[in-house]
Amino acid sequence: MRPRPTIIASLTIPIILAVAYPFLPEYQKALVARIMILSIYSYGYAVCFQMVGIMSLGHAALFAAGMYGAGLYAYYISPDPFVALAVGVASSVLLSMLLGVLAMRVGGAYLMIGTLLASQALYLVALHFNEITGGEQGLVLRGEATITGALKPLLSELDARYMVSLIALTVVVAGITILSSSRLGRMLLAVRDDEEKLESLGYNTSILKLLAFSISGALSGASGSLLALLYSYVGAGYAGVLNSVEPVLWVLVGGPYVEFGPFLGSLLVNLLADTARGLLRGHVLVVGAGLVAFALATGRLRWAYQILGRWRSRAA
Amino acid sequence: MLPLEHLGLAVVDGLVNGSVMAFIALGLAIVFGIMNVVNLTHGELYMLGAMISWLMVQAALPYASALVAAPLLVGGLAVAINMFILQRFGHEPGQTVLATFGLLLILQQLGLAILGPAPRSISPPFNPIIEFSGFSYSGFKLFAGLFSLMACLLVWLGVERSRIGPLLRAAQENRLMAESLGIDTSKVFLIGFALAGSLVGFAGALTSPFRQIHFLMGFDALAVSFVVVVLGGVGRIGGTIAAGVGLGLLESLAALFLAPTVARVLTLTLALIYVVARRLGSIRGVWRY
Repeated sequence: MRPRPTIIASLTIPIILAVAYPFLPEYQKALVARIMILSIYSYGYAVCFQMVGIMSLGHAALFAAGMYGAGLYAYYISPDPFVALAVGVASSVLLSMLLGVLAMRVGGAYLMIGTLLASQALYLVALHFNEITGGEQGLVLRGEATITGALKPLLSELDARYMVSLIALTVVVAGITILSSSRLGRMLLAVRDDEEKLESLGYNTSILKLLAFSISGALSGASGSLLALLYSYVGAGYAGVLNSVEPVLWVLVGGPYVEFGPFLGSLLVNLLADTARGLLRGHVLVVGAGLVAFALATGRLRWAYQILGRWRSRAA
Repeated sequence: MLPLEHLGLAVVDGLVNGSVMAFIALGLAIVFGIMNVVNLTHGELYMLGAMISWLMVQAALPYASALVAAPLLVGGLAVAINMFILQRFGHEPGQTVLATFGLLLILQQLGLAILGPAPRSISPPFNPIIEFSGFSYSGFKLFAGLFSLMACLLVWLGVERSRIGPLLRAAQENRLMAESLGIDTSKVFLIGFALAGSLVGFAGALTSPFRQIHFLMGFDALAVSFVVVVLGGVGRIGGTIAAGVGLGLLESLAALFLAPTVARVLTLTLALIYVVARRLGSIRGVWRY
């Protein structure tokens, strides 16, 4: 078994980001702040994919549940961003438990198609109720309903985004490190590596998978809620299929260490996509070419294919 | 109030759309259903077929020439994708999903570059209005529906009755055994991809006069095709045809009472329930995914 990094070691990334802050130019600050928020989504996906070996193609639904939960609460009910954050996380946990029941029951390509169908159906629901959700155009939250608005007396908009993202990322990285070295984390890894053996030892693997899916949903939803509350925008575009597939690429690029990989992967892919902005819709092309290149570079990705390769045996 | 006067139209339109859906899904039924390759570019190949048809009509070539060019070009592309990318890693499922999703995005951007963001349309080469009792229907759509159904049945017969079907299955199920029996499996995969690609390219060109030609049309085609193939029972071409026609009819009848998006959400949900129930009911090992 691979030794797990300690908390101090795994917090290197947040520490570097905190130290680097005064030296970063404006544009890079804004970019890194956004990447930190998105990397929380990446960590959420990693809990599902890397820790228990469930490959979902519908995580955008969880991300969007958080975004809509927080955004709609702040827009319609009460402009309190911190309650809205809690509502956002709760709604995506609820949805992830529903989808998690699916993940407990089916595996392999059925699960991928199932999650894809579910998230596509929810995307259409968001579009259908466009008087409430704003559809593709989305809604713009008023100042006092956002975290940046609440922190306005203390910090500028840019500083608030960076600081809140940094704090959130630190909490998530510490949490993931504790989880992966805990007893529960080992059990999740055991589900990934040999579900049947764990089952025959008397463990309830279905509950473990459901639990992992809910943790994953909580993180994805937190990322979506924070994005809504820091950037005052909620839109159906984030529920689309591209947003389900991007975390797959981030996690694959990031490598096998669940403590660092998700952040490094989303940093690398987003920086690359940012430099390719000049191209047609550079972002999409970079993600596309990246996926093809990664599929061809087999040797480097043995860990991922070990996870993916188990489908055949598990489904059979 | 039941809009009964629209019932006849809904049934005919549902059958036509269903046949077309089955025809679009046919290629995926071969590549995913029989050969077990999760080819996510299927929808984009369909979009390319329609795009080629639009380009040729723009260049003042007859529509009929698109029906020849689209299957050739799209079939060629499918073969190239198989040879230069998927074959490299022996169609390993994880890598296939990643690579074909990447290609999906790249082809979609190609569609955007050529078609532009706005939907395009072309007019059908002939379009007599057919009068039924109580409603009239586009002659070209009816022709396309009947043609799709005939093509589906022909391919079904062709694959099941000839050596192609068993060869495709053999190459997928046990490549080593097939090769030791003297079957050139890479040639078998080539035939499968060529057949699937040219069928979906043809479907794209055939449906282009009555559908909006748009760079995002592929994703919808992909989702519907997957639903149709999975509903019909993976690996059974007859089942795919039945599921396509049935789903088209269901969606068209549901659209009588519900908004189109709600009808689509309903079909997606039903498909999801069916997939889960089917998977639960099946004995482990009978269904490879």
